[in-house]
Amino acid sequence: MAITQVTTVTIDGITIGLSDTIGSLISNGEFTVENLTPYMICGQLNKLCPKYGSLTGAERSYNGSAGSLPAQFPNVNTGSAGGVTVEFAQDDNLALPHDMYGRNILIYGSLGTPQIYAITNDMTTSNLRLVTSIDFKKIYYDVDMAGVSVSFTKPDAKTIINYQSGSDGKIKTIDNDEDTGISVFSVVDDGNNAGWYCLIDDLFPKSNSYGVRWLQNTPQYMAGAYDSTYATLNDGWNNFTLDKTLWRWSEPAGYLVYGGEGGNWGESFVGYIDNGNNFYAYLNYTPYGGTMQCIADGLEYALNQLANAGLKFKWNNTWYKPVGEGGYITGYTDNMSETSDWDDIKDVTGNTVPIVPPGPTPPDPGSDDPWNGVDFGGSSGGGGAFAKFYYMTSTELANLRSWMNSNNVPEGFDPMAQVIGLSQVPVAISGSAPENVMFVNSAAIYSEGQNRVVDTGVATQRGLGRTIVFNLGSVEIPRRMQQRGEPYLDYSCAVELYLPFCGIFSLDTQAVMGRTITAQLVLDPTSGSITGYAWVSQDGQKLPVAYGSGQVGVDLPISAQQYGMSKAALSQANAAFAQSMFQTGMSLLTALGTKGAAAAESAGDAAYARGGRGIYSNVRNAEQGAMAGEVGTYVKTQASSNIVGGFMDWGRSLKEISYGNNTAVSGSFGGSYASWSNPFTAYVKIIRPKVQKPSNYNHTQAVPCVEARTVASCTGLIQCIGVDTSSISNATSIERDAIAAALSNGVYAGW
Amino acid sequence: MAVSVEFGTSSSACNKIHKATSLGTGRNCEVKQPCSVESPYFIVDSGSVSNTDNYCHCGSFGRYYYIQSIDELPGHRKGVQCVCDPLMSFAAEIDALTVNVERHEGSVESDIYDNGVCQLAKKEVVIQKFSGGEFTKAS
Repeated sequence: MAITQVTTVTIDGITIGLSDTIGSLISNGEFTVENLTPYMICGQLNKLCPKYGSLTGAERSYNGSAGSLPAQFPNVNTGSAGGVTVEFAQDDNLALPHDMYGRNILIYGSLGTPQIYAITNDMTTSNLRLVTSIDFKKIYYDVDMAGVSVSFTKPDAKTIINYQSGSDGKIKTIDNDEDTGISVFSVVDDGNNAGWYCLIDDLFPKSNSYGVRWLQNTPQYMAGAYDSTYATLNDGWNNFTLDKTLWRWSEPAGYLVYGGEGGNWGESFVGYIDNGNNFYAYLNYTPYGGTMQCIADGLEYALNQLANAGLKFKWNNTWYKPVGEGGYITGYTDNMSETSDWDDIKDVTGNTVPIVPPGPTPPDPGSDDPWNGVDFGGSSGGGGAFAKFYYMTSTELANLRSWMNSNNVPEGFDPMAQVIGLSQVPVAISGSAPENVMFVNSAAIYSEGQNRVVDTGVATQRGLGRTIVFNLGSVEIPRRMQQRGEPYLDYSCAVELYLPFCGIFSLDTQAVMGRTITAQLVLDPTSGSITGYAWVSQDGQKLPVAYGSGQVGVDLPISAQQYGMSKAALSQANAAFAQSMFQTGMSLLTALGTKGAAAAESAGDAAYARGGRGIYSNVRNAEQGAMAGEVGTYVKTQASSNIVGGFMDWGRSLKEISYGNNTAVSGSFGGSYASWSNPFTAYVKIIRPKVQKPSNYNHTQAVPCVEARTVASCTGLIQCIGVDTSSISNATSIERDAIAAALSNGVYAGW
Repeated sequence: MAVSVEFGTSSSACNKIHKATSLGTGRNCEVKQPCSVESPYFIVDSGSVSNTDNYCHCGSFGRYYYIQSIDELPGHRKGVQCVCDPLMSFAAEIDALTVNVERHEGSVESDIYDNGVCQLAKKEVVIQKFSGGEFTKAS
């Protein structure tokens, strides 16, 4: 967008020059004002601070010394360094920056509780959209500074605002600091770049005995790449560099100052941290000595001003999120009851996805499941366990390798023969509490005095459960075209979903539009396969919209002989388990006789390595055919939780294991590392139509509707179908036909 | 046949039901016979109608008319060819009609498809990441 220098700005047809003020315009009769209904009160702190709402007057004030805050604010951290830390992060549901739509907000100061009002609907120009409110004092300064030509129209020429409640119903001058001021937010969006600024300036009169809540010198400017000149244009304005994709800001030096009567002050520093994905703002409130009033109100401002810009905020370990209706923020969530608003809220903040996140869990297979009851990496570690898998870190795997290559290995015992397989996954998983990897020295069965169980002394985690669920969070598919005035085109959008390792899915727009998609990946550690699915919630039900699978695990070679045989044995073992073991109960073990049962039991005790992802380890009969009664028990070890960083190290460990043993290693890799190069972040791609409409389209073409109504109830252009003019009895037939034709072709109703 | 006609102007679009008019006082006119109430021909004194007039009202006929042409006649008279404006003439009756409206300027945009809107070939493509961030890589 080309930026040109302008010296005036036009508001609703009124041109404001550089030396004009709203006050002068008011006095000239160019503006009249009416009361507006507040749609949000900056009183949300009573939700943050439970006692706040019950406090009145002086109770909300504070007379104390530095470093402490009043007891009536129990949740406020009152450390010596000051107090309240509030984190902000981008609210995905608000989908900044380009679609901050219609949230026209004006914060104004009066003698009472500060309030936020909606000013207008969307204020548009040919290439700029002002989507929040405007500091009427600053607007032309801003415009002049930015050199951006701005012109907007209020929908109701008579309505601006009356912030001087109970007074003369007019806006006072705001041309000096001693007068009551107006402070606003503003966002400009040219469709390609978005600029956002939050200006806090002269909210309250300095000299007013009650209105001590004065925020000063907190001009915060956030602008798109195209307006990097802002920083140099006005002293005290802090420039933010906004990456429209990642929302990255540079760190400003903004601060809030809360004025106390009698010249006592408190300061609140606003710091910003950008970790590359999320944006945080920290408000540290530092009270000074003397009389501090309206601390809570001050905090409210900070919260609201940032949150109104689309940032949810975290306070005392709880996230609060703007709740909007019709494009306007109407309040904040303060509990978890609105689940649709809070899905995966914790995931958003710290890039930490819980290992077992909330969400659907695999159903209990019940007694019909042939694997039910098998300690398949279960908790007991013995007894019925025929196979186990371990989640090993690279260090643990290296330790195991060292043990295998040490003199601690019993003579005649081949530990590599115990390993069924080894595979690696690129994700963090965790299992049981640390326990030692155990092998079975089957040869010892036949030798008196030898311990059948070989303790490697290598502590690691054993895999638990059959699946590992990764919650990918959620994403809203907003009805942007509705917000842009073309609701029907929301359903002409194409929506594609990408799930890591599972691919891209074309979603049914009808099913997902205007809803929130939630996705999970479910990893089967025994096979390395992963299943992804996504759903939308409706009426408390989850409606699946995508389902797919892929392979995330990469099988790594142990030995060609072992690997192939153990794979085959694994298949046989599975079949044997399904068909024999669990259909006939324990008869198999019984049939094995004492030796077989003992062998089976000891096989169950066998423990095997864990590595990048699983090791198929086995009871020896899987590869050697010995101990036939053990029916191919196997163990699969699993990836450590430190794979990415330690992957190469882990690989070296594997190699050393291989060559450090007397077992030939020449196997091949299974799976594909190439798949690991795919994006690990689930996303949706929304392809929306772009429209081009003349500015007078609605007036000359009207808006589609299907309504039966009287002509008198219509305004502007109407087109009708099936007009019945028989009731116009005093017109000729020619005239009736002419009237019918006119209504069909389009007439302007109303006066 | 003599009737009273108010001549003047209307600046409203022809397809506006309630037109803004600026009409003078009633003038006595002769009606050329035969006469149709839908397209009468009024004969008046030259000073009763201006050549810039484009609209008139005839109370006797209960109708508003567009002036189609004004003829100079002998004897300082003018002939005014009119055609009925049925929208204005029967505005009250039309207002009372209950009609099926398929397009309405005063309606709010809805999910009804508007074929009249021009869609660009180039569409907007937006990538929106899931809130969970990156599928947890091991670190």
